[in-house]
Amino acid sequence: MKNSIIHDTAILFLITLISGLALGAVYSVTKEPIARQKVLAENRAYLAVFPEATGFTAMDETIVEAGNEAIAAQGHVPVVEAVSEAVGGSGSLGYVMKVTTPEGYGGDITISLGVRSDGTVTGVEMLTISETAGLGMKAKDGAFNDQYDGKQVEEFQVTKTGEDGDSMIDAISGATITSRAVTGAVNAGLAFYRQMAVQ
Amino acid sequence: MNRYTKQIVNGIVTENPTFVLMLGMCPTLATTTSAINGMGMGLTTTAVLVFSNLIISALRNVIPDKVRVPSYIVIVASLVTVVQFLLEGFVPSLNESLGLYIPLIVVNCIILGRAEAFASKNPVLLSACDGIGMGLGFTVGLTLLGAFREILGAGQIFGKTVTPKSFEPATIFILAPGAFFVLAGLVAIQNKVRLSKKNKEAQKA
Repeated sequence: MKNSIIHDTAILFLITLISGLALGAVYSVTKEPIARQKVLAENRAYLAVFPEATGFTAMDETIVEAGNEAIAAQGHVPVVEAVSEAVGGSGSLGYVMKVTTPEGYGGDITISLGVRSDGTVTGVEMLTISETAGLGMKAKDGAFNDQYDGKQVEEFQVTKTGEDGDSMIDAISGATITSRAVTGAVNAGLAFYRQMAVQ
Repeated sequence: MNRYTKQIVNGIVTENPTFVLMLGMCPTLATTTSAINGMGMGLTTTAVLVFSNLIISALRNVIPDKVRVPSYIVIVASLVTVVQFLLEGFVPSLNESLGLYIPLIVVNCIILGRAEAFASKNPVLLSACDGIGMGLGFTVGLTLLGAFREILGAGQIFGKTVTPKSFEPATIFILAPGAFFVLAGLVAIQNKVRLSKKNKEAQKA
């Protein structure tokens, strides 16, 4: 039955071809809206950590690379993926950045972080996080990530005993690794900010 | 009851994919950490299931028997990708909560199972009804599972706290083992109900 093989192949080929063409058509129609949504989502995420800003201008990649090299030399493991200048009525207000740390319990954690020109943290939000549900996922809650807001310190530290102090961050109970990872990412972002401020 | 509504009811009750057919266990266990997640996964699956049943049933005389499985997979995968593009581009809020589960649907055995067992042998409209029934059955199953796990594990339902303060939620119900516990409990209950119904009918007869 040579013919049946050819026949089957031809039909499978046709189905695949039509599916492929249909996919291509849908892709070309949705490409632009998707790109627009991504920009909107990014702006919303930035606005959540820097509410005073009215707009954001992305910084050059070479600046990001140079800053990453500098903070890696200081021993920071997390990597800054993108930086934007937060712009308001009176010009530059500070920076927002996207920092990814590989030190999470369930893989990479990406946060967005806002830093005012005087080095004060304006906000921290989780962008991508896949920690344990009910434990590490609590990092998304305000109870944890609001601890960074409005503080102006060199480096945050995680405490499990509830020590007082601006630089102390209460760990999420049962999720010390997550708390440390997020705090490490914030610290890397702060180091990156200082590096940029020097230049 | 005509055969279309019968087919829908069949999917929701008689052959509920989660509790009776035990199909699609992977997404069932993985995505039901809360009621809303279970519902989202269920409804997205329903949408894909209806369309895949429709298309496969329409092509049932064209698709050669020997290459039916690859054909089904190509069709289902293309459909899922189309749904993902559309959600991403036009309904970003829905995409944000469901985006994670959409790729999972390609490998959901309910869809392939219904294509093979039903849509490839039945007319188009009936297959679509089967898709609706099975999809809703899956949705009901996942939502129930998610609701129980959310109440027991977080003291909430659909994100609202419902249990009194004295209730200490047992986090294990939100973690993976909890999915097995709750699923086992729910299946046991529905088997009990089903059996006692059968016994009663037997006694009457």
